[in-house]
Amino acid sequence: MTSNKADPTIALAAQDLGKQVSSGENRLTILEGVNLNVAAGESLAIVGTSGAGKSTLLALLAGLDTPTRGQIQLLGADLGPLDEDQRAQLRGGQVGFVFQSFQLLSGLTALENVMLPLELAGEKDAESRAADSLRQVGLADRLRHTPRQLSGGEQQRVALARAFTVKPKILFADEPTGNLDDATSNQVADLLFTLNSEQKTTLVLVTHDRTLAGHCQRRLVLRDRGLHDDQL
Amino acid sequence: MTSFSFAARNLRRDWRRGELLVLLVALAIAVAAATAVNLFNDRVRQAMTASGGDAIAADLRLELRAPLAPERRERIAQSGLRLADTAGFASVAIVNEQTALVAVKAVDANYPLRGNLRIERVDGSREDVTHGPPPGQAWVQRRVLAELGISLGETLQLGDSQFQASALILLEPDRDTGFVGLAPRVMLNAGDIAATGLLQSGSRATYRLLLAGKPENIRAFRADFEPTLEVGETLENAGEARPALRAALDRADVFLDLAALVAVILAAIAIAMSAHQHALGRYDEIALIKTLGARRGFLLRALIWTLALLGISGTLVGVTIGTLVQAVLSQLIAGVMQLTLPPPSLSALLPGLATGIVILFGFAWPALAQARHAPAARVFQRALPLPPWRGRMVSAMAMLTVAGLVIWLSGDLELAIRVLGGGIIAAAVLWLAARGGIRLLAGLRSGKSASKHRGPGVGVGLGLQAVLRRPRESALLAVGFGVGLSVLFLLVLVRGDLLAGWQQNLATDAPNRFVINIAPDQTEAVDNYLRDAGFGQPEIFPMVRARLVSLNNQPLNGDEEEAAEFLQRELNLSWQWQMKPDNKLLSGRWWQPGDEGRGLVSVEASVAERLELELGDTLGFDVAGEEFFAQVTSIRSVDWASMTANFYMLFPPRFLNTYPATYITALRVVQGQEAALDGLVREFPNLSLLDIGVILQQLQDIAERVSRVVEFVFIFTLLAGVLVLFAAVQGSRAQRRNEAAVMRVLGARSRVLKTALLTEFLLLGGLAALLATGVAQALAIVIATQLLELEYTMRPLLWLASISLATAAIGLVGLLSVRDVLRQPAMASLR
Repeated sequence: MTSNKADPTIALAAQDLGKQVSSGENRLTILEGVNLNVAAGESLAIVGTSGAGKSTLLALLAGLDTPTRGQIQLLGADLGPLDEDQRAQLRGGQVGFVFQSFQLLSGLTALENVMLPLELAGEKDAESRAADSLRQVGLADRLRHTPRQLSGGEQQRVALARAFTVKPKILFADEPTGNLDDATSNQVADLLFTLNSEQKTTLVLVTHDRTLAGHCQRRLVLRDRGLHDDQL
Repeated sequence: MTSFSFAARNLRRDWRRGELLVLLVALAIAVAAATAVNLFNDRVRQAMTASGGDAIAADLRLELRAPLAPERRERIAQSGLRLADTAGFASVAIVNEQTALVAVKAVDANYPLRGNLRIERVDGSREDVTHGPPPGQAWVQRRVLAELGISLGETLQLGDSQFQASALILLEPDRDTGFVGLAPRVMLNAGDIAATGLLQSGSRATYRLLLAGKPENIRAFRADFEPTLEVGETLENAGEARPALRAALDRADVFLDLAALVAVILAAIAIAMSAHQHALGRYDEIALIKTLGARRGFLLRALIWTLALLGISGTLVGVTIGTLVQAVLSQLIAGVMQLTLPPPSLSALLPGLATGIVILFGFAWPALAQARHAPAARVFQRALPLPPWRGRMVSAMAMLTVAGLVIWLSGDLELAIRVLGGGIIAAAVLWLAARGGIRLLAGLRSGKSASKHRGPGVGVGLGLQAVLRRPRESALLAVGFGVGLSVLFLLVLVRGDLLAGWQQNLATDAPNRFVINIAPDQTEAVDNYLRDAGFGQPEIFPMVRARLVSLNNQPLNGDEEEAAEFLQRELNLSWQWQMKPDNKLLSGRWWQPGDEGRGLVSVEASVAERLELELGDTLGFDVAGEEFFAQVTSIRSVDWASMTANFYMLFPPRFLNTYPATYITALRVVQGQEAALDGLVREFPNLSLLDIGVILQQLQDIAERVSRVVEFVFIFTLLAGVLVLFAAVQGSRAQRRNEAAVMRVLGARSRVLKTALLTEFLLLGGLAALLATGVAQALAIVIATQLLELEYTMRPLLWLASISLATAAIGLVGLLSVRDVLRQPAMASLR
């Protein structure tokens, strides 16, 4: 693989990525020699069993954690030399997230939760944009509800609205349907891919659900600490 | 979004959830305690020193042996202070054949400058007035009427003039507390004095110039005028004039400082515990908003805003409460002490304000700042370890700042060090003992498991397991309970003992009358009379009036201010063979056989200190022109509060008996015995009776009121202690709820869960209560003996009761804290 620092067609790239953690006296290798290229607008699924290191990989790729070795380029920026703040700045307004456990702030209303990334990015019309996004996911009548007052599917739709409202260039999704029943899963998945194609967002999806992964243009399997082509 | 709006929104949410209640209440308590005590102390201090103080009916008084020379008076008048003149002298009031020795006080139109006179008119109405009697009238103490056999409204003669006794004096702001002032008072208008012909030049009288004005003017005047004082003149303020009041307030000051300091420290602990708890709940949220792009600068600013907003609201509430409480405290003592408390100075608010900021940033900051470092990757991996503790430096700084605050608040380095040191030692002892106690439990239980139990035993086993599974957390919880309980025990049980011990110093059976001027040949007869009249076995002491004139054969010239004041006065010398029980030998030796008739003297400690006397020094005395010498062989302390006859200088018997002496005795007169006393004076007309009951009553009132002031402030300390308990329970609540819910899912019935929780809390509560008893007991002994110099008596039964009560209470609180888990479906608790 080549360096693609200046290549605007590449949204995300990783070379020779490795992650070790210490647990007591032992050093545990979770990832080793991971290489990856994701084109702008592409949707990629990373599939793997529980404990394969999917979440760790996602955290590294999104700049939430630092690798033990290797390089990552996110939206044209080399993450290596960036400190935590600079990585946060890079994410702000450009990177969206959807989590298995929704990760809504329980004290805030649906609207406030969606407004949060817009406000952090300093957007002026945060409230109206957040309301639009909630309307798009079909929650126009739930703006003032707090997460506790919403069902699991509704909560994940709020999370989708929060992820897409900043019109991110890249979206990281971690088992977005993992906590939902089948019917709701399908709804949320449809919504995710619809928004994704509408906004031409690059999508990196981590899941153990092969059906969900099937919606993506490309699939990789995380196995034995490394990424492999899906032998489906 | 600004960091401010983010902070404000989060605070609103946390407030609605009740998460910040403990923190805010703790903050408000600390600020209120510091504010109340500082404002109160400030007012008392102002009243006692710089200004105010109607104890002398003025801010400052100049006392002279002769009327003030016109040119000096002119100079004083230029200072712009308000002035009033009084003249006091002894005289005899006459009605027909009856006479009474009275203390006349002539007052001008400006008297009193501070405070007021309380009088009772002929019609029985009582009134507080700020002027003396009009011309032609005399205001008198009740005893004058009794001794002259007249009633109010009738006439008495003084010198060449007749006066109508038009009112009774119930309270005189600048009443003397020395012996001289204890002949009953007759107060006259200054304009009437010349006509009486009583006050000729050279008459023995005390002239006083009273001064009042703004504190700064008083200070300036004092600094300016003091150097021009001549021998025999004194310039003093209320505090200097009323040592008994000062002593009471000094002691109260120690109590108050102690109560406030402990309240502040406890509140700080509660804040730290509650902030730690709050921070734990914020890790996920911080990780999330970091993934959404929030930078550290933003988080830092948001944190500062959070604390600032919390600080402002908590401090506002605290200052408001503190100010109100201070007003109540002042109200409590102002009346009984006859002090006009000036409004507090604004600067006295500073310690309270600083307390809020310092303990919030010192104790809440470290935990909350730590939460800022939550790794963003936590959004994917909840199990990610929390960042290493980076706040060690911050905590060290916080501790130092708080130590500084404590020193500043108390204004007393020694007290602060004792409180801080005691606190640290107590916490360390509690921690070690709690760990030890839990280890002991583990040893007792080894080999058994919960499953081996049947019925209620399962719950007990689970509870025990819960304690042992997390020995560190259990010990911390026990320490939390222990700290709170220690203070509660100390306050609820020891406070009463301490205050009672203090009040006991002013024994209620103390004498309230002195009989003086007993001639040597009357002692036996007086003794017999008093015995027959039911006054017990009065001790009659000789008294020889003398002046101290030389030290180690060097004449004392009174250069030094302290000594000078002492040398002006005639001293009462006395002799006795046995030392009285209210005297205590501090150094040297008491009389031994063979000392009779020798020139040896035992000196009271405060005098020895003022004159810098040492054992072996030779003192020269002058009695009516004749000089004699005595060597200092011992130094004694005297419990003046015992109100019996005591003397600065005591000699062995048969040394002073060649000098003219009169005798004195102290009596306790109860209701119904006044007639017998009147009979004594009739039988021995030369005797004088001094009524010190009023002073005694006032001292007791002061002790009682000051106790109430102190108890009031203790409420803060008590609340802070309860708050620590509460914070300790709240801290472990989330985990406990979760465990209870899981156990329910696994099929545990309510009874088992209840038994388990009860067992856990009873064990921890019992351990904490046991340890707290020891700590509180040790602290009580230290406080009583070291700080307050009182004897402390153990009360084992009370301790037993408190241990049982506290254990039961903590068990109940623990059970209540998770009661909702027991009520609702398990899933609801797990969600």
